[in-house]
Amino acid sequence: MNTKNWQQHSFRAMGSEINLWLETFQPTIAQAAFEQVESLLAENEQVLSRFRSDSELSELNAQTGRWQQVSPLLWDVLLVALGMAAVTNGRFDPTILHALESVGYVMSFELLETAVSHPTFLTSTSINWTHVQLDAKQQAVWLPPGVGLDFGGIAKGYTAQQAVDLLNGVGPCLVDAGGDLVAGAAPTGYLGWPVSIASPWMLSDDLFQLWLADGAMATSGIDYRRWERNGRLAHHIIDPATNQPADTDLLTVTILADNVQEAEVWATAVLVAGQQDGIDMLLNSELAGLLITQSGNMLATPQMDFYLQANSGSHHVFTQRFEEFCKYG
Amino acid sequence: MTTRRSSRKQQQWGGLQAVLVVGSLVATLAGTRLLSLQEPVETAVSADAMQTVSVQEPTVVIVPTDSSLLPLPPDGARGVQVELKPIAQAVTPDIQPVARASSSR
Repeated sequence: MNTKNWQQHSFRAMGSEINLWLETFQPTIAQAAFEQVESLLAENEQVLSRFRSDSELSELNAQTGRWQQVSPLLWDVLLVALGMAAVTNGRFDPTILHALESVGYVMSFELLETAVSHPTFLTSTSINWTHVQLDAKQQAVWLPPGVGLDFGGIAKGYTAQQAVDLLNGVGPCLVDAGGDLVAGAAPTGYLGWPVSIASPWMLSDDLFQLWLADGAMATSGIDYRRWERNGRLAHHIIDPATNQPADTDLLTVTILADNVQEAEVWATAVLVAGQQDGIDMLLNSELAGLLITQSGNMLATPQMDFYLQANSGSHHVFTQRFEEFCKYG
Repeated sequence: MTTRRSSRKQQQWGGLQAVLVVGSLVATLAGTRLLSLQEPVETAVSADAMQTVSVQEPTVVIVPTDSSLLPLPPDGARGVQVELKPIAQAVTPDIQPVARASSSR
């Protein structure tokens, strides 16, 4: 067993650091595949980014109150987003664009620190994802006036999944899209790709190590993308019920799932829901999840426990409803 | 005389016996009749008494305000904390992780 055939490539796209791994003994083939992935991300960003005024998403957001035909990519991602909004009972909602803008998240995060002031928007919680209308025959979308779409991690996750599908044609692969991990087949001689769950307090530290193959892992958290606004701490996880930054007792939520869109959305939805409701959501959905509370406790579902190593940290498995559990040390 | 006198006495005693027997029989029958008349009355009284008991003894459920007084469920699920078992070293990655899952960077 060795790792010498693991080709690696890094670049920046979609506001994140992208890292690719591909197992092949032919570096030139790997390089060609990596370039295809870079092109894929650039093309998808041009369609799905809300930070680009000339993106297709920005054009759609500017055309509220009327039907607008969209590209197959935007259509597919929108269907995924609305489907996940339904599954999470609106804990995830792609129509929170103006709420994000109202708390100051108006540009790519790395540029936020240089911004002097941000416009403030009035947002209403009475209009949400259920008011978006679709015409499947025309592949057209109608957004209610005052509503804007932000796909959050779904756009990046959808693209990362496409990248894995592309790389899988060459060999076993792993895609790291700014902390969202998507794995293809396991590399030769290993159970999967060796990955870890980073500590929210010290990114260079690993809380747990595990093998990842033919699956995805995503983390949503308020540990990094947060800023100060009008003397108050703001972050990018919006609670659709209030259109304000979620008032949550969780710091990060990590979900393992078959695909990264599902992992990403559930991580966000559980983070918004908070510890008590979040645990119920995960147990009901039988998802593999790791919750880290703001007070430093770590809680894992039985499905997640299957992947974690007991000797690499202190955590607890919850197999009953939240109220049936003791305090965690 | 004595014989006639004795005979008369015997006749009187036999008559008295017959009267006693008949009287006893009549009394017995009359008593039985009285008892049979009294029985429905006693039954009615008993039913009333039972009705009274059921009204005067309502079911009262006392709910303790202190939850610690509540009985534990039979399986003792309340407050269970599951301890993890070590995972076999065979599945432990023996190389450094190449990627870390984290919130969006």
